[in-house]
Amino acid sequence: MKMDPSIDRLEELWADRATGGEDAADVAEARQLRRRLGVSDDLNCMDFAAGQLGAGFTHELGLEAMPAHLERSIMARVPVRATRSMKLVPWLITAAAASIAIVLTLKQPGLSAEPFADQGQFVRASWADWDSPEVAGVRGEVAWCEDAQSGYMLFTGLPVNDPSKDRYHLWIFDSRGMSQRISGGVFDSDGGEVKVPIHPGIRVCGAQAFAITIERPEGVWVSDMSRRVSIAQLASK
Amino acid sequence: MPLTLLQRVAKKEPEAMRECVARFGGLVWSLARRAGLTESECEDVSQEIFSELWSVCSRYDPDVAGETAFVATIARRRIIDRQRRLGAQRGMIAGAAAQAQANGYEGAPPSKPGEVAEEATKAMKAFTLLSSDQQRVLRMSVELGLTHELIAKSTGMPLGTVKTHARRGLMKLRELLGEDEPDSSEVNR
Repeated sequence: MKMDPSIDRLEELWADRATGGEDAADVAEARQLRRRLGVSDDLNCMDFAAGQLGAGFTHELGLEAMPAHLERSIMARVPVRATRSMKLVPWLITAAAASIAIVLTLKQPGLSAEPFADQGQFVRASWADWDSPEVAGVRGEVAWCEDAQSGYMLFTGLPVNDPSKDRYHLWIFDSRGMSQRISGGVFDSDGGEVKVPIHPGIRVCGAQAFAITIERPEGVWVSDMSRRVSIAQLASK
Repeated sequence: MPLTLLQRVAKKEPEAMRECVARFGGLVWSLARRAGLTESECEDVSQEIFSELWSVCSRYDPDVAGETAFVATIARRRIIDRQRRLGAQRGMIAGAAAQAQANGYEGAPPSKPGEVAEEATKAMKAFTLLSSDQQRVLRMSVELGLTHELIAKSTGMPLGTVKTHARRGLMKLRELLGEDEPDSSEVNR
């Protein structure tokens, strides 16, 4: 049985793309062929062949070890989404003192302080607009237990974000001041009522405020705090 | 059958991601370093690559590609995107083209001894079975990231010839990589 020549042609176009030889006409032709053949524009066999060859060239000249601080940073930043069972994934195992927290994003129906009812040691604060916020009008509260080094944030009105473009990032200010702010990790919002547990990777000493910024999807090590959202100043219960 | 590493990453096993960074960190870092990015850019793009891997590993199919090929493919895409975003492509490619011209790129540099990943070794073994023109064009394209136009300018080959060598070379390579062991009797077709 003779193969559809369109398949061969699509493979040629994929090969062009994988080797940097695709032009606008090729893109249009590939789109048309994919539509006709019902093939997705996902990773394809030519991409993988070029990828494997790229790995071969790189190995050939010897691999450079990834810097240890970068490995730690990657481990600390890759987001983990918890399941609805609320089982918290113990993501951070790194011993590095500078490691940051991963915040597991949990979507819960209803905005309620009930989960903290039996936690008398929590201190609470309400979210308010930060100076010149990029997003205004976010409401809800943060509850924090210094002894347990954990807490929760509740939000309403936090706009839905596109995780491939930007994500919300939690920062914690403690007795060490603004310059020593602690990264609490990244999280997403579906635009509804959102609850986000807080589990900092390094010890918070006298939490004073929690602040939300918008950052790159992979998170940042140091933020310029230019894309501000909300801030919550803590007060003892 | 036990799950592969990337399949475990797809299941969001934290320890699998740790193993993934340990196993592929050097490859990702080296790909970024060799793309002409600054150290800071290499760090940023490495973060992006592993972040993406965490998200896309559910699309990994061991019947379609090896894990090294999958990781390297994701990494190459991200690195190329980064180069374009930075607007560095023009400068980097000009430099790479000059380097390609200076080196001639007539053949592969000698391999260094030591352990290399199985998939990388297989790729290089298959690569040596391509014609010298196909090797030359693919090395300039895949290793240096040059477009077909720049390869044509750099080598003096007509653009159509460059395209044909790249296309046929990669298709042949893919065929060889699909075999259990590349057959050296198929040399240079």
